[in-house]
Amino acid sequence: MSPLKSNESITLRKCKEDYIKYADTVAVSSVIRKFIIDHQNVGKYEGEELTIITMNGRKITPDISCSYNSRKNALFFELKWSISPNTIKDELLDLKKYLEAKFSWEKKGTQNEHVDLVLVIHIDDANTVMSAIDGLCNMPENDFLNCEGFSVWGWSLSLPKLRNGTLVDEMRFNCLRGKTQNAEINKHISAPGGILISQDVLTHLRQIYRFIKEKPPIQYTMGQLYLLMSSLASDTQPRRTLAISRGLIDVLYERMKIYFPGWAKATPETIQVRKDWIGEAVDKFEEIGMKIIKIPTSRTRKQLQEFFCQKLEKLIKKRLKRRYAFPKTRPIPSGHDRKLTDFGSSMK
Amino acid sequence: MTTEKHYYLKHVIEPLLDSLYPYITRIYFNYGQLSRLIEIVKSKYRGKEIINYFAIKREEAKEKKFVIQRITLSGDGAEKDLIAEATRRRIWMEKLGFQVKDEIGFTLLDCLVTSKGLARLIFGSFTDFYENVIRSFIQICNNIDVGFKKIKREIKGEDVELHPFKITYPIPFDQEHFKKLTSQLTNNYMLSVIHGGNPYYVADLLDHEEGSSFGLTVLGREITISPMYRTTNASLWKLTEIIQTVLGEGSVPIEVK
Repeated sequence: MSPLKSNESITLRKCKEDYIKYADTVAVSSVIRKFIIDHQNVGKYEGEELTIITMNGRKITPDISCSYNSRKNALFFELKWSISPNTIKDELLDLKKYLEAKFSWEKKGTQNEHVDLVLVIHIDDANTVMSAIDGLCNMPENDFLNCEGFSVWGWSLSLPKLRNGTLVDEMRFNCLRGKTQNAEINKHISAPGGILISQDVLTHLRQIYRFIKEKPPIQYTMGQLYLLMSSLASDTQPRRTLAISRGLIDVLYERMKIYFPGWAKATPETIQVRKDWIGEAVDKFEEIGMKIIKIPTSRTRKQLQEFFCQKLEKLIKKRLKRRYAFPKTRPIPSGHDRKLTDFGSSMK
Repeated sequence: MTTEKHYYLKHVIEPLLDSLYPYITRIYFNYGQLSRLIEIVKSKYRGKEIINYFAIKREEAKEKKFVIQRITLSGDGAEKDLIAEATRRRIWMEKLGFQVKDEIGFTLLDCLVTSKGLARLIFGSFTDFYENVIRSFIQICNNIDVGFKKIKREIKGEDVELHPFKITYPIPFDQEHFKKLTSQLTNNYMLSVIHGGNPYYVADLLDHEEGSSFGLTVLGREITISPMYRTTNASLWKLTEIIQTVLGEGSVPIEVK
């Protein structure tokens, strides 16, 4: 059964699709982490959302970092859960900072020699990204998009295959453009069918984290907060009720932090950004009229993403209606209508 | 404990117990756990003759449709037949009945145990029944409870280790099963289905009544329940019951001593 229905509005459909896309991108980040850890000949897994300070004092935070060639080379993975044609060019140009980065993995270690960057996108976004790259790479200042070291991978859930008599879905990665200087990873990605990942990542390993570095859609943050706040409400004895307010942001972050990759080494700036996401979602709860969470929660047959997307859609419609509403005019009382000739007759 | 008739039990006591969730949780024993129970009972009545039977439901595929059949497995090889059925088809255990007879063939104990945790003494001494059957029953429950406690998220240094719960099935699932699963889960949980089972199934669940949340995935013949923001034993009993009631009984990794 598909979670998406055919008779719903485009906004609602897009809202639900974004929710699912983000959840899947979180799984993709687990896939890459597991792949690097399992294939040590590719490189050494350095961490997820690791903040690296470059020689010129700039902070960069790739989604997944690993090193190879005795830590002289770096291999970064950058994940994008959603690509907008309006912002893709800026997002691509922003990747330059990774490829140009000069840094050391240790405080007084030797400087890196080379950086590889793999941009990981959903296969559905391939056309948008490829045409944006084609448009940009002709300019000499954007030469980094053509250099060896920059690569674009697309991920997809392929058609189920028969394995030991059972149909099993498979997640695959394919190279869409470029290659890295890491010969081992090039060998894996250029194999027929690309990289096929192990099944445990699709089951429980995808559940370890719930977020990636990129900001989630608001409905996703609200969904995660709803799950968390329900558990908090359940622990609140004896009323099992939790009032949603901005005062909860710190508590929510503390309980939620282990669901963010790289949580143990998160910088104060990163923590603040994540708290802002939580704050924004808390505000939205208030706007849609959810002020308390009570256990047992009210029953609904709607799915979590559908529930929040419908509420958000209603909110948008209400705002639009208010913005474009005609100014109210006082109606003329009907019982007191008098013809102009009536005035003439009364004057007689 | 009650001396009431079956009707009162089914229409008054059981609904009352169900309504007391999460303060009281109903247990669910699958075929493996009930087989273990009869093994323990047999070891307690060593030297005595035990005649047992299993009443099960099994799924048969007929003309692209699934039909549920009720059968009874009895006789000397009932346990082996049960295991054979469970490896070939989707089955649901309904009840286990057994009689304990002494050397001259006199019945010492006659009782019934259901998968939903109801134990009924038909004939025999209540003390024997309590000591040999109910206590064994409680022992298995405790073992499962201890196993459920291991289902958690653990922070080890900077890493998070996830200890999920897996149910493995001998045969793969059909689209029909996923539809039933989603429908049944929607009755009991706030659900967020990410992939609807083609055949990969991924969903986040929130227990309406208890506040526990889980990540559920079905891939191939394996169901994985991953703990999320809150996980209790009560909610795990409930979830494993719902899954096994819909998809049939699978093998669980909890060792029952």
